[in-house]
Amino acid sequence: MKKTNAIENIDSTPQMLYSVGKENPFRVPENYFDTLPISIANKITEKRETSPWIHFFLKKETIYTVSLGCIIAFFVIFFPIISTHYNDSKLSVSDYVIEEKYSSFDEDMLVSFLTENEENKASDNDYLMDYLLHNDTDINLIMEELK
Amino acid sequence: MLHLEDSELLSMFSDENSQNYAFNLIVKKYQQKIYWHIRRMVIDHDDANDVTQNTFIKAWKGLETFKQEAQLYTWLYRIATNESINFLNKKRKVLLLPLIDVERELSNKLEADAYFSGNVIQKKLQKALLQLPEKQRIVFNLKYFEEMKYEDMSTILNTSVGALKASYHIAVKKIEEYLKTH
Repeated sequence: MKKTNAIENIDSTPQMLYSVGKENPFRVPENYFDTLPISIANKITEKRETSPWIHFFLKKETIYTVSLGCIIAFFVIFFPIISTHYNDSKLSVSDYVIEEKYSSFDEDMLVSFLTENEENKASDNDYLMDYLLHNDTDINLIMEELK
Repeated sequence: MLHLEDSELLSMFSDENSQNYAFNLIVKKYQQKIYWHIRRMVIDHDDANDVTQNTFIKAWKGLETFKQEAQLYTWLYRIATNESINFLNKKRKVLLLPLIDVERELSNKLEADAYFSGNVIQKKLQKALLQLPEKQRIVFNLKYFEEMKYEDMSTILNTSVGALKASYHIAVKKIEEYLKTH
């Protein structure tokens, strides 16, 4: 019994609110409810006429999928280029030597350097012989001294 | 105007040839109830107009998959309630306002509203309602102004009847207190 009274009490509207009344204090512009169904119908027609592709591309899921696809495509296209460039920069000295332009350069340098030394040696010997002859020095004496 | 049962309107809607006509009849049947429910939530007429139109557009999109076991009118109220709450939440985000300031803004709108013709006590009641949390305000509006059954409210708000009764009771107490002190 007590429980029933409590529920009724909860459900009841107090006297104070009755004095306010239940009349709707809000108003709408004249003929508003006559034109509202037309406005709604027009909006629906607009939505129907908009290409379904636009709706498809405006969907969040589509945006996420396309973004992910772009990122993957970027890596697929640019990864080979990036990796080639990276590998180039990692070429060892031997790789350079193998390349023709560098190997031919090295060969010439080496040949010229070696022949230059040989020539220098020969010219030094000639100079020494000239000096000894010029001063009339006995070579046998020198050889004896060196022993 | 034709007054058809919801089941008749829904079967008309399922036929492609009479779909537009059926939807127009659904709008005409429920537009006033839905509009006033939204208007009590968002206060301003222009905002209520936008939210009402969005509600019916959403209903149009969802009607094809609407399960006929559910009541059309509670389903429409549910969409309208969600749209109103979303509208107020968006307003909070755009204006970076906390909950209380949005209600204060609505209260100020009430003062300047050309489409509000209530007397002093009615205005005071509306201001008292704006002090309530959103859900209590919805429950109070549905029960007090629209005299909706708790069972229907329970379907719309996905809340138990007991919780709704308690919510209404708390709302009434708060309103009484406001009316006494202001």
